[in-house]
This record gives sequence, structure tokens and C-alpha cells, in this order.
Amino acid sequence: MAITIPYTFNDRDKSIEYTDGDAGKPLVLLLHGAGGTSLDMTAPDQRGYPHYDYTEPFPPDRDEGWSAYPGVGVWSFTLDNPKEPLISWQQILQDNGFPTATYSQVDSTGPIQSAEDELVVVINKLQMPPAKLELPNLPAKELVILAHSRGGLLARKVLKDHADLVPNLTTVITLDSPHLGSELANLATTLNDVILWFPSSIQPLITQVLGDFANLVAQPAWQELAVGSPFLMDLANGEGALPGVRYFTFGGISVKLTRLLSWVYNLESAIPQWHWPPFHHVIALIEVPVISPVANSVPPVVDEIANGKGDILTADKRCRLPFAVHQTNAINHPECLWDPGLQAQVLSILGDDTGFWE
Amino acid sequence: MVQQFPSTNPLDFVRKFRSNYVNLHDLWSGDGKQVPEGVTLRDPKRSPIKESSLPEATQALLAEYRKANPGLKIVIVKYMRTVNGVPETVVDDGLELPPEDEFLSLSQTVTLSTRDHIRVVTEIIVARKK
Repeated sequence: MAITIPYTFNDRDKSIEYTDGDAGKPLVLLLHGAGGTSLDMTAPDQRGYPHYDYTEPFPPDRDEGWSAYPGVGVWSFTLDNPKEPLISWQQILQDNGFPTATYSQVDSTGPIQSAEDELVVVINKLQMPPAKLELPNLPAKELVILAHSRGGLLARKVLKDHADLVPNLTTVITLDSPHLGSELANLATTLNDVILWFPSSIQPLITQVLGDFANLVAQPAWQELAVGSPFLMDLANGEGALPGVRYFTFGGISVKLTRLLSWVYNLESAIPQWHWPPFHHVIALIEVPVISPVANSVPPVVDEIANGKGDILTADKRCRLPFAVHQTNAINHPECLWDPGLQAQVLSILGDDTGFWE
Repeated sequence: MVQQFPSTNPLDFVRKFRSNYVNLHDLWSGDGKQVPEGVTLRDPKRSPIKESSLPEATQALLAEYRKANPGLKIVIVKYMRTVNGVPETVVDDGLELPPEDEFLSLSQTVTLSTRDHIRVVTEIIVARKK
């Protein structure tokens, strides 16, 4: 069960969502990415991120009944169904006995500075004695930071500017964090161009899949992450691993979000029968050739949207740190929030079994 | 964008056609029965269905099939013309459809549509091939 730990930041009452765990295990502080909320880490299916089940088998043909006219061609376009249930980071860590803490960052689409100031407040709060927090069993012990996307840069910024803030920090894990920037921020219109690349009749569907990403990269939070930006240069300047802290980075190389599907009439629908009305409409679901899946089919203008190199928002090669162990997975950017394979890898790090790296 | 459409198994289609078939002659003729208003029902014995009276495109398709299957005898046994899905002219008798290995159907649909009018005319021909 989640416990609420209140705190105040910039005169606003806010709260940390804390879940208890085994006494011997570190507290995992979960940091969401730009434009996110704590739901990213607790209930990602409620966030509207694309989570289509692109491996689901096609349903059987559908009987649409009798009609006065022949059924020819495309009946409709659609996308894969949502993948459910999604197991959040909070849930999987809780299931494995790890206490967790997460919160919604202030101004998550804005520049990182205010989020940094807030994280300092949050960490200080989590290090208070349990009695002061009026909570039982709050573990004043080892801390792990598990951060998605810009959350990884937020962690780096805080640790660089406040090296002594977290003496009990043991591990920093970043999931598809663009440590060396994202070229999508340099070419802000790229994702909109991708949407426009599709035939106009399909663009509303594609916008449903990619629209939020296109909006995000235009926000100040992402613009700050442009390759070669002053923020990134300043962050990397003189930065190193904190003594005694292990760093792990993950990168994604799949841009597959959903198949683009089409219900089409089978040939039977075009041939009249001795019946009135004479046309029996039967439709079948197929994957649209050439332009499916999304976004594998689009021209890979930058590595971020190139399958095998990026995850839609970040490029694997730019998610690395010189002082971190890196792992590449064939998943897309939002899948970092629920992918069971990635979760197993992180759990093995937290259990000190890093055999999968070899 | 090149779209691919799922195929239909010809034998499956013929079987569906046969299972959906209703003999309109029997349905509308006989004691106490009557042909619906607006429908003309004819007996093929009295009004034989001439191949030359079929739509040109249908005749061409039939000629193409004959060329690919020389020596085949094709006899037209049933005809129906529907307008917007409703029968207008039916040439049918009490005989059932040809068995599935002798079955052949032809059709043509022409349409006209404007902002306030739609007209879909379909002609269906059933023949026996031997």
C-alpha cells in the first residue's frame, strides 16, 4: 500500500508516494521523464503513452451482414489494441520487496532547474528520521535512483551540484536517458514531418500515436536536451562518477510502436449472391504494407527515429555515460516504463547479479 | 500505397452461394402466394435467358472463360436484376441450383451516385456448365 509523505516546494503542498519493502533492501527513488508524472512509475497505462500490443494475433474475419452494394477495398484503418496489463516500476519493485518513492516533478515540461531544486527537497525529506515523518519503517538506509528519460539527467545534475546530498546512494540506473542529447530537439519539426509523411487519410491515427512525442520535443524541457546544448555541455564538464556509486545506463533501439492495420473486404464481399440485398460483406484484418509498422517505415532522418539505433525520442549511442555500464534493448521509449525484460535486468542489478551484461 | 486484399476460396464461395440461395419461384408462386409489388417474375422456359441479352462486360467475361475451357457447354438457368439491393426482375423456375461442380455465376454491378441520390443496379446470372 502506498503511503503519502507531504512536502512543500515553492509554497506548494506536494507529496511523495512511498511504498514499504523489506528492511534489508535499498529504497528505490523513481524519477519520471520530461512531460511525465508519478503515474509514469505507478500506472503507466493511465498516462496515454502508446502501449499497443503489436504482437497480438489477428482476430478472425468479421461478418458485417448483407448489403445492397459490393464491398470493395478498405473498410477502415486501425491500430493494435492496448497491451494490458502493464506492470509499473513501482509494482514490480514492490513485488520483489523493494521500498519505492516517487513524485510528480514540478513543471515537467520546463527547464530542469526547478526540478533540480525540488529533487533536493525530496531527497532531504526521504532522509529525515522516520519518527519526524510520522511514518513507520521508513528506511533510512541505502538509496538507488532509477530514472527514465530526462529523469536521468535530473539525477546527474543533482548529484553533480550536490555531491554530498546522498551519502547512502549506491546505484544510479538510467533508462533511455539522452545523456548526450537528442537530435529531435535540434530539429524540432522532425516528428511532425514524420506524421505528415503518412497518407493524409491515416494522419489522424498517426497523430494519435506520435502526436504527444511531437509536442514534447517542442517543449523547453526537451529543447534543453539538444545535442551540444549549453546545459549538456555544462553538465558533462568536470562530471564523474561519485565514489562508491555504481552507474548503469540503458538504451533502446526499437521505434516500433504499433502496427498500422486495415479492415478490408474480402473478395466474397464484391460478388453478389442469390439473395437480397445480394452482397455479403466479410472483412478481414491485415497489416498495411509498406507504411506499417509505425514508426519503422518512416525515413530515418535522425538516429532517434531509426530502428536499430533509437527508441523514438533518444538514440542508443547518446544514452551512454563514460563511467556507466551500458545495456541496449530492442524496446521503444515508453516501453521502458513497463517492459518485463528490462525490469528483470534492473532487478538483477539490484540483486547484485549482473550476469546478463556479459 | 499498394494494398493487398485477402482472397476468397472459390469452392467456399460456391458453397456459401448455394447455402444462401432461396428459390424465388417457389417462394412467390403457388396457392396463396404472390410476387412482391414492383417485382417481375418470369419462367425461363417461357422467357429464355439469352446470352446476347446479357450486359456486354458479362458476355466478354463468359467468352474469356469459354476460351480458357474449350468444349464447355454453358446454359444460363437463372437471372436476377436488383436495384439498390431489391429484386426488380427475376427469371427463375422450380429447379434448384446446379450442383457445385457444374455451378457458374456471373454478375455486373453499375452504380450512380450524387449528393442526394444513389442507384446500385446488379445483375446476377447463374449458369450450368458441362
